[in-house]
Amino acid sequence: MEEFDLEPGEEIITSVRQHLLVLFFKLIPLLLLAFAPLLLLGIFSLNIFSGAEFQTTRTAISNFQILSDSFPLFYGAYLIFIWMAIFTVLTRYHLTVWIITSTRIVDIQQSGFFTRKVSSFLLLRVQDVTTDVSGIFATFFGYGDLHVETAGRDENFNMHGIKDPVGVRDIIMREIALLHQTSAPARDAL
Amino acid sequence: MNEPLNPFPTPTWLSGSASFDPSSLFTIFFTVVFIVWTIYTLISIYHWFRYSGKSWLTVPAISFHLFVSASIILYMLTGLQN
Repeated sequence: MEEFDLEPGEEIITSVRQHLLVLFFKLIPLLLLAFAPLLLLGIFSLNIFSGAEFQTTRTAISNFQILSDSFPLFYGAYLIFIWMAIFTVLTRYHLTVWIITSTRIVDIQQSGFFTRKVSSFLLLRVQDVTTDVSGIFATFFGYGDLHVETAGRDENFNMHGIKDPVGVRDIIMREIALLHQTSAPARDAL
Repeated sequence: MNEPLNPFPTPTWLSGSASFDPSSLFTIFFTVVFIVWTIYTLISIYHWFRYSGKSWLTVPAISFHLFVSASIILYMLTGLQN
């Protein structure tokens, strides 16, 4: 991630992405879509329906020989578009990341190709960090949301579906405490 | 006046070299899909290398994309041969 340069003395503590299960949930509809034509063809090939309209439709499809011969061409084209959608989801997953450094949090959001938002705020401005783990899967697999409120009119940060939100919150709070410890002697000296 | 009626001959521009071959539609269809896929692949490779060039995952991810795409395209070609 080359969007930001580290300040002198600043170091990357950790980087956080969404949980893999959240990614899997996003992929489920696309996987179902990929196999939907095969399921439909399977249903059509079975004789479980006996309605006249169904039989007419079935005969019409089987009579359209040129399409059935070229089924791999059309289904393959369908699959390649599904695969492009899947790879886009994977790309967005990988390129969306939250980086916690010793002085700030950098939020990198890849909403789509050519849509990328990078924002950061100082840890010293953090007022409140809230975690939200709700739901069976989130509880069992340990993922959830992290909400960070900052002082002033700065933008608040929400991390959705990240793994181990409680651990991330502890890291943020620890780094804030360290920052306050290091800045307090300097403040006292003034 | 009592000559038998003959049907009009088919114009040469309809029956000659300009006749339409329906199978060429499939070739055009495949070409369009391939062009779209190529543009998409170039854009996604650009994004991976631009924003995640230092990551160890970049090359495997692009390789995986090319492998899956090539498998699907080969499957498509079997439909083009019919």
